[in-house]
Amino acid sequence: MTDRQLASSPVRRFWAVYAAIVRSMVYALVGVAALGIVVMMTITCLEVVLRLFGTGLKGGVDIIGLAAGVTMAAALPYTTACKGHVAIEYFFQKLGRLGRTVVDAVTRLCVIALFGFLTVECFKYGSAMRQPPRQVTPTLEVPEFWVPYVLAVSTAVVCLVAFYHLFHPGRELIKP
Amino acid sequence: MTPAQIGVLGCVALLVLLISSMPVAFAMAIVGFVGFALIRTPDAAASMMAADLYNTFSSYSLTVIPLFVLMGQIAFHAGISRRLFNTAYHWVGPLPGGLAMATVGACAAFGAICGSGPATAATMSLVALPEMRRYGYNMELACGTVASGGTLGMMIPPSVVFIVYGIMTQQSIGKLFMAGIIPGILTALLFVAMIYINCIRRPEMGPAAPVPSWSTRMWSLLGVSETLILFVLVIGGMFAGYFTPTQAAGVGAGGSVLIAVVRRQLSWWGFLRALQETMRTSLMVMIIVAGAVIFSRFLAITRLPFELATWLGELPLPAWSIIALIIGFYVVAGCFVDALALILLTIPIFYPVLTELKADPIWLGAIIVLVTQIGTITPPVGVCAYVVGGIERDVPLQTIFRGALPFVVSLIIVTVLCVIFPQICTWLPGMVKY
Repeated sequence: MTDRQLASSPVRRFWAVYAAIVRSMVYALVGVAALGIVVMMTITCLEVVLRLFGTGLKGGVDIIGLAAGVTMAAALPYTTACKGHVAIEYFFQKLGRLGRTVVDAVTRLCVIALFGFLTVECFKYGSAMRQPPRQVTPTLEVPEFWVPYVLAVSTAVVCLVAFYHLFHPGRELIKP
Repeated sequence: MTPAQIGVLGCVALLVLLISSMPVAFAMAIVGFVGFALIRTPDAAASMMAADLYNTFSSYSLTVIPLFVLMGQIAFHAGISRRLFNTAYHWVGPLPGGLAMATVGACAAFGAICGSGPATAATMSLVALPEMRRYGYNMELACGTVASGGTLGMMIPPSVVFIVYGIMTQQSIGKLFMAGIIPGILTALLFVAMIYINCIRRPEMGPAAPVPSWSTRMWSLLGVSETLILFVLVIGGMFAGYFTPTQAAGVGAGGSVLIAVVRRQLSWWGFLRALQETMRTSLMVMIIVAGAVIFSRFLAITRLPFELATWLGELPLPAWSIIALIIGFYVVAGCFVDALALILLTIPIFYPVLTELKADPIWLGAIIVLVTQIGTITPPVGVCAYVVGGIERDVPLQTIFRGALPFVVSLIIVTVLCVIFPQICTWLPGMVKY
């Protein structure tokens, strides 16, 4: 098979489309996370400034907590896509090529299993929070169930990212 | 099998997963979940894991991490780091090794607005290394200085490592920040002394830069104004008891954005890059915290840390020798494991032991950060050295590690001083109100 035939092979095309779709999901979540950080910063500053004028910001802690939950959940796929997690690579690098490939594949499979499981559990956790009496924030009484749902979506996207990494060892889905 | 035996097996399994390069957070979560499921029930373990992940991510007290990281990122993208270096350069550049000293000064100042060692090293690599190369500095000294100067970001507040230690051990973050100030300054001074001595002995290592005029020097002082404002606002506010750490971090982040906008130094692109880097760095920390929470729940039900504490407490050894052994462990393990991950991995095990031995938790936090600082510039896993090596690709890693060696000696001296005179770490925290 020539290089051109290989490049246009269905498998290559599948991975190209797959990577594009997962990347767009990751970037959509990056947008949500960025918004969350801005909200956290703005509300904290507003809380301090309003305190100068003798009034506090009612429910500031609630909003910041929710924003933090959404931010961290939404940042999870991006950090995974650019392989930004802390790992001890020293011993792994000492392995031969075959050893590295096998260990890397087992590690990715474990990550897929972990996050697949977390997707189901976060969804169940959100649903449990939704049942009456609904879990709400202490001051503003905003329902909280949707944050675990965001977390479930993010962990599902992490599975998709890890699936890409499983078949592309040594390559990041997104360059940091 | 008894819970304690399952606990020991869990620790072994964790070690195996870590060695196989599985991300630290995931390894801790997997072992914590499986162990909890074995001792209690799989259902209980599953609910515990989802709840812990959610609660860690949406914890108000942990929002201090992304907000401080954002402050440092904005400062970098707004060019504050470059102006800090310029100021230091104009004042000490004409001395032998002056540019390297300026780098240490700029690292210490940047550490006061950035909570991460590797981030400080990366920032200063971009700012200081081209200048030192231009003036014919020996690259061993130049790279060693930047890598070691970067570690100051871990000790000088705000420090992400202190925040995480404070949350894990339920100690005041404000007091921990204060505990880092004097050792941080002392380390910076010793770094400068080490550079000066080296360059006096071998002047070709760091030739002096041209002497600038006094007006240039005076004008350059404006370069530290933003950092000074932010530091006084954030740390002063906490010291005076006006801000909680989260509020201080929020005000610091907002203040750095305001300064950058007023000075017209921050583009939209820079702002977006800062947000992107903030979420990546913060998540990297937060997911390890979540993993550590899950793992420590498992350890708690095995009662392993408490049994270890009781066993160590009953050993016919003086308390100081056990504390010294644990500190020694951190020095060795710090060479292999990232500082933050090491603290999160070991605090659930060692903290009960150390409290049983009546060690001051604030002093202990400062000592642990100091010794893990050493690990970031020593082989084989010296993160700060790798960061510099990644940016300055034509300098071999062994050259950077060799260049960092004198600074390791400085860090050991500071650690010994802090052990002999604990007041270096505990005097300022004793004055803090929050």
